[in-house]
Amino acid sequence: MIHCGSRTRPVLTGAKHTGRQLVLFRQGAGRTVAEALRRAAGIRLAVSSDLDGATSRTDLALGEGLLFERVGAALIHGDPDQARALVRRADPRALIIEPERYVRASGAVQPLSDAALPLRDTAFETWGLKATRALSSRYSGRGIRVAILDTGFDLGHPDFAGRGIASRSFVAELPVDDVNGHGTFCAGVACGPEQPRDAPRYGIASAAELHVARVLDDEASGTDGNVLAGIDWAVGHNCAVISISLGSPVYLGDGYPEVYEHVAARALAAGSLLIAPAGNESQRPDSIAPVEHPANCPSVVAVGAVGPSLEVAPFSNGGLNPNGGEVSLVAPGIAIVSAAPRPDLYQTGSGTSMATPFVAGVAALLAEARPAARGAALRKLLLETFRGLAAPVRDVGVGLVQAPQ
Amino acid sequence: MTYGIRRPRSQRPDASLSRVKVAIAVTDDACAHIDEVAAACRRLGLEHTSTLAGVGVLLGSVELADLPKLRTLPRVAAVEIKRQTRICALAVRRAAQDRAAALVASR
Repeated sequence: MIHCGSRTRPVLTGAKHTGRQLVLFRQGAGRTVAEALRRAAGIRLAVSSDLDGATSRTDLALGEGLLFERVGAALIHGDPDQARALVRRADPRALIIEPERYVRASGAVQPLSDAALPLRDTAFETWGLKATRALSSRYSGRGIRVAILDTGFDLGHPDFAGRGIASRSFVAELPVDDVNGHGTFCAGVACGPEQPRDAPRYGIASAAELHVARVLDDEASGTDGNVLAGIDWAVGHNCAVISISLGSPVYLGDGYPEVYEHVAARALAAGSLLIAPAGNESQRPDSIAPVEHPANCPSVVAVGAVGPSLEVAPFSNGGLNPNGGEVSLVAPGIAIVSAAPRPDLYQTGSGTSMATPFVAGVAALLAEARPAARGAALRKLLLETFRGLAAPVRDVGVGLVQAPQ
Repeated sequence: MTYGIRRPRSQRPDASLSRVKVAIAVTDDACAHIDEVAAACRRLGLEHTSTLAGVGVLLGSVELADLPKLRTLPRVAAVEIKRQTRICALAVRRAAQDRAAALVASR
């Protein structure tokens, strides 16, 4: 029976389906089919674009049906067989008719009580590890190769003694040794040890196999060519995760760089996931800058930053440009403690650069937890493992990255 | 609240240069024959410096005037002028070891 005019709201009983039918029409055929349904069965479909954005769950539950004209789809109340027969009569060329499913965020996590905020560094872990639940994870990234493309690395840092580290410099006449400190910082957050010599734990994937490609000079600047060469090297070394805490600003309305997108897509196909910072050009609340290059490529995970109260960092860029220019998710990026080149050993820093290796480290844990998940599958898993935040998707994407438990 | 950054007229990419560094992505089906694409690009003026075979990219430099010709070559998917990149960090404070040591000492 088709429930024309039904006011019954679907009840959440653990059932997989809502009792409504999801119909995919040919592009542009939506209004015609809606009119045919009205004539054939008296079903009146509301049109989503006519509702002035009021397509809340309540709206969807109470109507006879709803037409999403721009995407060529509709929701119709009723029994699947009868709905299918009616839709086929109205539009023999309708593409798909299937029951609407309940959906939920996977990777459900324990909510953090407001009383715990702001998070603070303790004797045992930095606030970033607490926020991402890295310390309680049973995974350590063992067997997973993580590449850090940056200003190099202090290969003699005592916290990394005994770790087999593959390294190569792509900057002419400069060794891998990190003078700037940014690369050592990022490697520390992604792959720092379980027990640092003289600091709280600051690294996530403590048993991952670290690969370091130097692509930036001592002033932390470089060219696309060096970065692309570093990606090529990391993909060739079967790195499941490639963290590149660098970028260059883009402008409102800019598209993504095509060469990078080709490279990122090929890296995904080869089993390597690229993760890059959203950028620090915003000055919230006054202005928000768009996600920068190369994080604005559709095949690259774009990372924004939050502070210890899980608030959006004032500098963190937002998802203003479509088609890849969105923020994928966020990670800790204010007052982060990590490794520094000798003799300092430790340093604090802020930026989406600092947030990016948190996501890289968690991606390594996920790769260990799900050995078959590489490339696009790992990216999907990463974006399903989050804690929702009370902030716009524009600023935080799916939410705060979370380590698998 | 404002969104985005206004592009200054003076910041059009490499407008003052006649020869520019470029990255060239070949099409997926050409990755196995990237040397042939490189040869074709060299014939059109590319000074070819390196091949990233794993990701299907050629690096080099070219006269600005030759860029449109490169873009029309068969099996060339995209040609872009290389840009400067830099880290995305704000203040980094070294010598945080005192604070780190103090935290550890509080165990």
